[in-house]
Formats: sequence, C-alpha cells, structure tokens
Amino acid sequence: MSPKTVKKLLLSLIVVGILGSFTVGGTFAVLNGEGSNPNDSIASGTLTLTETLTPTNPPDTTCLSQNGALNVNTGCFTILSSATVMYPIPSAAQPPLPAASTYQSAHISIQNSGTLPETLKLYMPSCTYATTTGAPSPGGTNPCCPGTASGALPAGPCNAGSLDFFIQETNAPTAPPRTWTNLASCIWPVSAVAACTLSDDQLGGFWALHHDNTHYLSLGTIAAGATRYFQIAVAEPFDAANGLQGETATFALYWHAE
Amino acid sequence: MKNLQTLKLNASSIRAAAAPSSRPTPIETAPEQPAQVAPAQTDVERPAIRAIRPAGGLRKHMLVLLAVEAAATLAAVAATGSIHNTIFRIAIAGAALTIALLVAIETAVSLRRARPTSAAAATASAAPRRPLPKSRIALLFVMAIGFATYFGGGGTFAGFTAETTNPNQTLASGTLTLRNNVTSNCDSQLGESNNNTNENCNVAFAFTNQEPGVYTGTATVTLTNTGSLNASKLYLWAPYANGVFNGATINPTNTVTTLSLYASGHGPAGLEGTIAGGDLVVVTYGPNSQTFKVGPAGAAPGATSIPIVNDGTYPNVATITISAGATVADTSSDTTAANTDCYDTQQTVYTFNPTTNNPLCSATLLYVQETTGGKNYCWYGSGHGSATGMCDAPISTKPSAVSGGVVAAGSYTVTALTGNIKSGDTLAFTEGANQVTCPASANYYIGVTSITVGACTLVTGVNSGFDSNTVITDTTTLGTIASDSSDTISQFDIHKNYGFKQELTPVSANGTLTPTGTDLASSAARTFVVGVVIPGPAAAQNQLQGLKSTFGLTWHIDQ
Repeated sequence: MSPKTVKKLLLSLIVVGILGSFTVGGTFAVLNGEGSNPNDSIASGTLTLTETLTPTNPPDTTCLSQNGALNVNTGCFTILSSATVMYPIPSAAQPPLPAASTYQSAHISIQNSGTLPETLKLYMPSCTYATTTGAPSPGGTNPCCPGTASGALPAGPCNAGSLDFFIQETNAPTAPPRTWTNLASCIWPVSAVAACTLSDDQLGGFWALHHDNTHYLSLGTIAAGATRYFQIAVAEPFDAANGLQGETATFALYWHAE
Repeated sequence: MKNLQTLKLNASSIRAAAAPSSRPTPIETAPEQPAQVAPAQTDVERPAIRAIRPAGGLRKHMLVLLAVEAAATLAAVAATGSIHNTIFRIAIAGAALTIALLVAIETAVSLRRARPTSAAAATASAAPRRPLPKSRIALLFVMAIGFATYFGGGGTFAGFTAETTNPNQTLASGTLTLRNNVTSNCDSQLGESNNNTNENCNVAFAFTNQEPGVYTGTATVTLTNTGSLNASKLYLWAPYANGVFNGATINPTNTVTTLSLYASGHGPAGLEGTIAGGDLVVVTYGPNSQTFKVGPAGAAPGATSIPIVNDGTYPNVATITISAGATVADTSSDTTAANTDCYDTQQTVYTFNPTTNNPLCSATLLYVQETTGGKNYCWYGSGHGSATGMCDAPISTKPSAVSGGVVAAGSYTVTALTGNIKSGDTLAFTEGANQVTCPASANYYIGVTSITVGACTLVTGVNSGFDSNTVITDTTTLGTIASDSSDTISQFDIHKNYGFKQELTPVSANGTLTPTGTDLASSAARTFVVGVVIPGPAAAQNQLQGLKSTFGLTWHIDQ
C-alpha cells in the first residue's frame, strides 16, 4: 500500500472519528415501550379538637385546637372561675351530689373535628396556690395538695382536706335549657360507679398522677366527627375546716388527642 | 472507472512528451504542406519539426491537454451513473464528445501546419514526411474505444448466459410493547403520544385520610412484554414534572406562547409537579421532540397551561408537529423537594400545614419490592438491596381465628401479608384496648398467609377476647422506618429520575440479581409491589395534616 493510500485511509479515519464525536452522544435503543402510572396519591388525614363550654343555656364558647400555629391552642376558655365563693359541702355522704350551689361545675364537650380517629388524653400540667387577694384570714392549706408533678409535696402546708375534684362523662345534653345524664362510669376519681362523687384531695391527686403527656389520663378513643361530653366539678370538702379559707388554686386542663 | 483511469494516464503521457523546456523559437508563418508520413524520424529531424510550431504552441498544447483531461473526466463521471438527471447526463457526454472531436481536429490541423514552406521548410520538405506520433495514435485509439464503450454498450457480452433470481426478499421488524396492569391492562402502544408511550395507565393507589406511623397500603403492578422482541432493559424511574398536551395542533413555523395540558382523563391531572420560570420543557410527539423555555411565571401543580417564551437557544417557533397527546416534561425538575414530580396540595387549610417544599412528599416513604415468581428483591425503599430481598414494608393483617381468644405462641392463619416480617420482629396483636406482642419465628414475605410466633407478652389490657378482628402489626418495622428520611417520594424523584433510572435486572433468588442481558423477555411478566407509608417519629407531625401528595411512576423497556 502506497504512503499516499495510507494517508488517505488515516485521514478518512480521522474524519469518521470527528463526525462520531459530534453526532453520537450515547447508545440508543431503536425500539422501546413505556407506561406510566400517574396521579398516584396519598393524602393525610386531620386530627383536631374542638372544645366547647356548654352552659345550661347558650351562648356556648368554642375553642379550636388548630387556631394555634402548631395545632395547640393554649388560650381556650376558663372552665371554672373563682368568682363564686365555695362553701364546704355539708356531708361526705354521696350520692347524690350535694346542692349545686355548694360546688362549682361546668359542662364541656370535646369533639374530634378531624378526619382521623383519636385517642383522647387529659392531664393537668400545673396547679398553683396562692392566698386570695384581700382574704382576711387565709387558712394556709394548699388546695393543690397532695400532689405535684414530681410527686413531692407542694409548697406550703398540705393538710388533709384539699379540694374535691371530679370528671364526669355524660350523654349529649338535651336542648336548652340543657340537662345531662351520666354515663356508666366516673372518669375521675376512677370508679366503676356511674355517678362521680366529691371527695377530699382529688384535685391534687389528679395533678400528681396526670401532669404531662406521658403521665396522662387516657379517655379512650373518639371517632372522627364524634363528640364526648364531660362535667368538671370542684368543691371544698366538708372536713376542710378553715384551712382552705382565703386560698386560691389555679390549674390548667390539657385535652390532648393523638 | 477503468475507462477514466486509462484516459487520464494517456493524457499525462501526452503532457510528458510535449513539454520540452528548450524549445527553439517557432517560425511565425508556416505554410500549409501536405501531410507526409515518414516511417521513422531521426533525432536530427525533430528539432526542425519543433521549430515550425507557432509561437503560442506550448500554451495551446497545454490547453489541449486540459481539454482532453476535462473530456475524459466528464465522460467518466457520466459513465459512473452518478449523474441521475438524464438531460444533464447526456449534455455532459455531449460536451465530452465535442471536446474530444475538437482535440482530434486540432491535432490533425496541427500536423498539417507542421509542414515547412520557407528555406527551413524547404530543408524540411526534403526530409521524409513526419508520421503521426504513436503515442497520439494510441491516445486517439483508446479514446475511440472509450467512446464506443460508453455509447455503444456498457458491458461485455457472452454468447452463453445463465441467471438465477431470488425474488420477494422481506425484512419484518419485531415489536416491543409494554403492558402495565394495576387494576386493568394499560398498553404502551395505545398511548396518545403516538410514540409507544402511554401516560394514562392505572392510578396505582389513592390512599386517603392516612396518619403517621401506621400501615398505609400497597399496589401491585404487573409488567408484561407484549411485543415479539425481548427487552434487554427494564427500567423504573420517577417522571419529571409532566403533563399531556391538550390543544390545537401546533405545526412547524407556528409560534408557541403556551402549552395547554389536559386536566384529566389523559394522564396527569394538569401539571404533575412544579415548573419554575426558566425551566426547559421537552415536548414529544411521535418520534419528534422539541425543547422550549418556560416563561418567568412558571406553572403550579395542576396547572393546565405552561407559558413559553422565545429564547436564543430555544426559539419558541415550532420545528415539529405537536398534537394533542404529546408529552410535556420539565427536564429541569426533580432536583429539589420543591420541584419534584410529587407535589402536595392542601385538602384542609390550617395555619400549620403549608405546602412549601412539599412536606408530605418529603416525609412519605416509598418502597418497591419485586415478587416475581416468589423471588423477592427490594428495588427501592428502606431495606433496598437487602440480602433477604425484603423492603421494610409494614404489615396489617388479621388472623382467621385466635384460639380461646388468647394470643399465644403458635401458628396463625392470616390474611395475605402486604408487607414483610423478619424473623424476630415484634408482632403486636391489638383489639380494642388489649394488646399482646409476640416475636416472629421466621421470615415471612409479601403474600404469605401463615405465620408462627414465639412466646407472647401482654402489653395493655388483658389477654383475652382476641378474635378474627384482631389487627396484627409489625412494630419492629414501624420503628425502623420511623426515622427514615432518605427513602421518601421526594428522594425517589430526585435520585431515581430519568438521569438516574433504576434498571430492574432479573432476580434469580430472594435478594439476588442475575443479569442475563434480557430484563423482560417477550411475553414474560414481572410483578412489583409498590407501597407508601407515612413514618411516625416521636415528634409531632402536624405539618403533614390535611395534605395530599400526588406523584407518578414510569416503567420503560428498551430493545
């Protein structure tokens, strides 16, 4: 083969190579088939609570959990107010409950306003006591006795006879003026008896046992859209004597759904 | 071609013989003399002949040679048949013939003029008549043969001939088509894109009202090569943000300012994913595709219109025909959680569940496990590539019965598993407020209907009252995936898109791949279980409430 021919061949190869570098970016399948499954979706549900204060006669007061930026609303209404001076209940013999004028109570409803079933929890993160402003002769007993979040005694004297406290689940009320009938069990103090009773130290007792999201009172499930009804009551025990005079207890109740 | 080479060689020979550099000054007026042919010519005579050439002889000679060259070349070109226009071909041949005749005439005339008339000519006349050079004779002879061959016949002829013919040779291509079945058959060749691509296959799943930390569900996708050819490659990938073109046909030279998309019924519902301004979208219809640049506004998920702008690199003038059904894919997408094919929408509007960066897509885990012929391989998801072939796929099953209502060690017949159980995993039997846990005695794969557990432990409530309504879950698996943030749908879109597509090589045993060069043979089928689950970490997930993630999966075969 002459040098000229060799040169031609080499030049041809160079040209082919240059063309290949510009025109061939990869290997390609001549035939192919393809199918897509579009629009696959997964949608999360919602989990929210709606709490409503339901007095015998409207207007009601409603509080939504999702009003908060984290689905936590710490600014809901006050269930019980200290505006009414409590008197020691006349007797420990219950039921029936003593006259309504001798204790404080309120009815609320808790609705699962989300789309998912919820497990409802209740706890009391804090209970603080103070001498009532202007009280002439404070009794000195801590109304939050005997419990604390840590299990230790709260500050101040913890004499027997701290506040009574119960949580009663009821049926849905009647139309206003509302009346309620009890469900089959008392939630707090835990009892198999349908009707709750007022007994010593149950406020502090509840706080001691159920004070955070890992130490809570389980209220069981609540279906999406369903509503449960509760009566919350506080009383000054009959044996409190003067120890609770001029004392104020401030506590919070957290209703938590998961 | 041989004729061409011969003519060129002869022309060169003429040039070599007729270009002496020490030519005498030619005589200006050389009278006409009858041609004399001498049988032989001596060296003494040749200078005399050269001396009688006209002054422009050399130039003329060169022109003649050039003409001969041109005639030969033209004739050769015409003879090769490379000139397909008949008129042009005949014209070229005529030109070649004309040139050749002129050369012949000129040669003859030149020879006649070469006879001397002056004193010198008298001397020359006394010499023997100069014969026509043999080289010229040979040249003319060969040219004559060439012309005779060209015009007289193109080949050689034999007295006897034999011939056979093989008629009706055919070549038929095979087919390569993919059938995708979730709830019904979806065939690639029926796609509206006119490109063996079907964007409108079954929705694999549409789970609603899901919550973190619990079993969600799965779908089973069966892929069948319905073509006649084996597919060397079977791929799974996450589509780019995409849609299906729905508009009047766009023809070449049309200006494109928007791309309309189908809102439903033809594939993605509007735009699947998010397109940012400046992204590049590739529109494909049939075998053609064209890239356009998206306008600054971009397009939101579900949009049915994509703005297009003119760009120096990507003009908005169509170069292809774009008809309804064309696929539109944003090749700039699938790079971050904000621009994936998967997108979130608010189903319930709260202050705490914005869709920025598609939080549910970014949290929801995706897994793809092959189960073809009982051989498992985890292609994507927690557990990917595990030796057991198991993805960390949660379960939720029920026993057909619980003896005496008490959960205890032993075997249970259950509804077919839609997830996997690893040996030693903790299985929770839950009914109402009662829960008992038991360890799994062996590995159990998707589809299994009988499991055996070891000694059990009461967790809450009482160990009684269990029956066929008892729900069995694998708390070990749920715990494993609770903290997984790398196998989400968003991560799938980012890391398993077209650029990083997952080849699905054949599975020869649980957790074992054996590449054979054929991923999906003709008529063969492979089965994949696709599942999603929202993990349940300890932290609250309220930001995921009331959201819906929408996404797609693409399955592809190559020849």
